[in-house]
Amino acid sequence: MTERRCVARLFASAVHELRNILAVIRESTGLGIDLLDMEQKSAENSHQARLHTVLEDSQKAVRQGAALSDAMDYLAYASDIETNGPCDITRVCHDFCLLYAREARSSKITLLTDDGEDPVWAQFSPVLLFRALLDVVDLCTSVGGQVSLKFSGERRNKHEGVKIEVVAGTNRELVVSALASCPRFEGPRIGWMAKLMPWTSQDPCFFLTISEAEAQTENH
Amino acid sequence: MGLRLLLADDERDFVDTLAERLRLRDYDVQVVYDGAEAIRAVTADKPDLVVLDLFMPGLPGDEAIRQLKMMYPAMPIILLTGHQAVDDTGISPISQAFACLTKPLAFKDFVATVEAAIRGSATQGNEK
Repeated sequence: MTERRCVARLFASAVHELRNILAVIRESTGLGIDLLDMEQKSAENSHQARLHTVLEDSQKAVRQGAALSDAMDYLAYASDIETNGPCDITRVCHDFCLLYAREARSSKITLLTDDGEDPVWAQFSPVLLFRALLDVVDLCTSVGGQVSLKFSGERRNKHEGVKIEVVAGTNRELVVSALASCPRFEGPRIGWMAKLMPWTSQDPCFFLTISEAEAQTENH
Repeated sequence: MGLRLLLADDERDFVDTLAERLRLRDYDVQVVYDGAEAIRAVTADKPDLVVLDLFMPGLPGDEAIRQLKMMYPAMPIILLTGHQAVDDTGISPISQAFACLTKPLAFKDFVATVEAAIRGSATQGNEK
């Protein structure tokens, strides 16, 4: 998968999600207008409670749309960031979950992340990490999806990466097994590699790191 | 009661609100949240018209429309999508739908499409 293809897939999913968000705003405000029209026609028929939730739904959808727009903006500029970073892993995890939520849901995969976590800085391009996360979700989809994945930026043994927790789901065992048997992903960019290792031997958790392939080879 | 519509879409906030607006206009609306549920509901209740989201978990809309058209060839079906320009999808079952609409919808246009689809289906029935 090329970086351009990675960005295109994330944008396509985000646009799909944004259209759904706009559709909710449009229908919710439309229903609000319908109810107000009825209110004027019939004084004894009060729709105040429903109007309140309709307007709350609209506000929520606007907040979701704004967050998704921010993530799309970050992705649009991420490819300008140098190969050696800097990359805020926490930010990429958060934005990836927003951008790819819709397509992941098609495979019954829920993407989770904690809000408000501190940045974890790494020396690689954010696009490399977006691409590696997409590879992880693709792998989970290939074995049937139906699982929740939680991503968080972590520092472990002097390496920065993403802690991936297979939280729940009817297909959890198969997904854990697939992730455990796929320690490396195709290089997200020539000279770079993404590596997946168990977090501990017991947990259904993994640690995804990105590093220069040559440096890895020298270490071995 | 008015015309019986079945709406199938996994975007619950959207489809529930759309259904509520249609009910205010005297349509008899049933809502389901995936393609498999849509097949079951159509088999059980035989609505006048089905509205299917094209991309749903489980049984996607393109497969659902293929199955529905095999069972009920004359039943009008409208597809919804939030995904991309419909012409770009290359999904052949789209040609079996009365129309394919992109979200967000203009409600007036949606209702006009529903009415046109039902009129078209009634005309077809009369011709037969």
